[in-house]
Amino acid sequence: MKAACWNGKHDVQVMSVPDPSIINPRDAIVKITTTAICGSDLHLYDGYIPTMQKGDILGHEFMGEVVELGSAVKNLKKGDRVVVPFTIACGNCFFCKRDLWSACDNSNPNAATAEALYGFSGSGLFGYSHMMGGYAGGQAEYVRVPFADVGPLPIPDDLADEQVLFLSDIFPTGYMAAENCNIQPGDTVAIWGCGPVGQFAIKSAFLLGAARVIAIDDVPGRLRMAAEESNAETLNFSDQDIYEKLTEMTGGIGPDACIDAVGLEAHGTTLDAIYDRAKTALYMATDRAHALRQAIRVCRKGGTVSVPGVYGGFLDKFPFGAAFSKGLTFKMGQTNMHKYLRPLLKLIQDGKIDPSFVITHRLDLKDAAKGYSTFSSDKDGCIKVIMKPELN
Amino acid sequence: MNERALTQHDIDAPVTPDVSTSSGLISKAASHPFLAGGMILVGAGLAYATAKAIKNATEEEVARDVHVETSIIIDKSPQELFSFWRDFKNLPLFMKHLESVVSMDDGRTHWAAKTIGGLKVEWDAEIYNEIENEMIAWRSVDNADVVNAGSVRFQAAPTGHGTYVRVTVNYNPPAGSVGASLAKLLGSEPGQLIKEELRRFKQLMETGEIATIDGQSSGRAEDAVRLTAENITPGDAIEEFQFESK
Repeated sequence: MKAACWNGKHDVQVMSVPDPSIINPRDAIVKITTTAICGSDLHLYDGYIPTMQKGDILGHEFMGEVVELGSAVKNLKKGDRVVVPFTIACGNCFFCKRDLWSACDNSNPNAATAEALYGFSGSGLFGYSHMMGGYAGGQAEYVRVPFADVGPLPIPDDLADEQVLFLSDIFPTGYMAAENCNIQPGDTVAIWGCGPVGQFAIKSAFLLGAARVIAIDDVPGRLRMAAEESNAETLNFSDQDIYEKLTEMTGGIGPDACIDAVGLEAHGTTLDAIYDRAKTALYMATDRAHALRQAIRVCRKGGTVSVPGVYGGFLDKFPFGAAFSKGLTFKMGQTNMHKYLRPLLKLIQDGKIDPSFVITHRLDLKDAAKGYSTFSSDKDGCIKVIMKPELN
Repeated sequence: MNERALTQHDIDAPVTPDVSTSSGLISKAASHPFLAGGMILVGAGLAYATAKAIKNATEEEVARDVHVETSIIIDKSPQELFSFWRDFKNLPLFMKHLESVVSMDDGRTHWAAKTIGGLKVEWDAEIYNEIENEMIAWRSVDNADVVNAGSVRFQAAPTGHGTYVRVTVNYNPPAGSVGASLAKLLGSEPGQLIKEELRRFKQLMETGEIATIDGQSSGRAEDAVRLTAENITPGDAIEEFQFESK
């Protein structure tokens, strides 16, 4: 089969590789109809994520048709059309049972590696380094899906791939970020980062009852999408002071909640350096946490700072005094996907949102390398790239 | 007290000092770790030392060179976990360094570690102590390739959390090629190895399987080949759609 494989920094190669097969009884094989490139894939592309190996199959946003089932999967049948969540969860452990699916205890075969860095390991992920399990990803024609009796979400025939694909990651991620804000009627939510996750956070904040959403970025095309698609108010941080502006816009109180949908910037913090130094606990980071620091500074007293991520290591100069003085609540974490799949599918079915609005590029899987380089370099015009194994 | 690593022989035929405690009592003490505590108060220092040494010999002193303790919490009842572990032939399912554990007629078991370079590492073992649904303690007997002992304890965790599983393993790495083979098998961090085995036990018990990527596809496969313009099927459509601002 064709698959987009990581071959080093700025080196994605489409290769012919073996088709996947059933390995464990709860596996399924899915034939992929549509897949996407995620903003976090760019961290892999830029060589900032440790424990990647040449030949790793990339991709964690995908959907398609079930073509093979392990002996223990009883709730799916061949031919079922499914979207697969990017976090792999068993459904049986302490964390899965409490809706903390991204904290699954049992889905990372390399849990020891993540433990070394974080204390305890979260769930395995598709196509996102060996520290996260090393699972082959879904920028390919076929993919092996572990715990297929828990993850894959069946999709009705009357919804097109493009309408539901983003249930695999970015829509639930944006939604959870907004939900974590504990939005009350009349609230103002400020959102840093207008990439796809930010776009979904904006839409979700309105769906959850926010009165105002203020979107912050420095890329005109992304600010434009936020304004045109969601009626967000927009601020460009390159030509104004965000603290001054947000304070003025909110009559001196500050936003009720702030979402950092920027996360780990590729520039400034390399995760491999963090990983090496984690053991000595002497790491002094200068993460580009401008967005997070701004959010802490301007969030109203008693407000909430919501962090969908991604952060990997250590922050320096973290304004904890400001956070303490103002009594802020921080909510963060990798998306608990399985909690949101069905409720968000229902929102799509009820016509409350059409997630396909973020798509700007459609490519054949063969052109994956071009997709990565465009996504990396053209922030203004390229917001979301989807790929099809066969574009007809 | 003269400390030396005790061998299997010391346990099976303990040196009895000329004091009031009879060999029968010491044998009994040796087979019941908790009784031994009371027994050792009787007699002279030498008896004390020997009895204590034999009490410890049932676990720690049998094999003293490598001692590992680790624990994990599993969302299953102590009963389920105990009965799975008690059937020792199940152990290779999650203990990757084991090839097989086979029951023998006399109640003992025969263990074989995975072979490295054709060298077999094997031993017979017996369960010398167990409390149903709470604890199993085993040790190697006779001429084991590796003198070793271990125990597992199952303790109910607070409501909703399942069971604490605590494992101790002791062994003396033998000299020579067997030792070298074992070192290769277990790696430089036996503690980490045992921890990983417990993690696999948890996965097996909670999910029914062990998470793995062994056998999955990748670009590292022998027959994997990079696709270029030359080897792409001619006639494939390539379409690109650009987003345009409204």
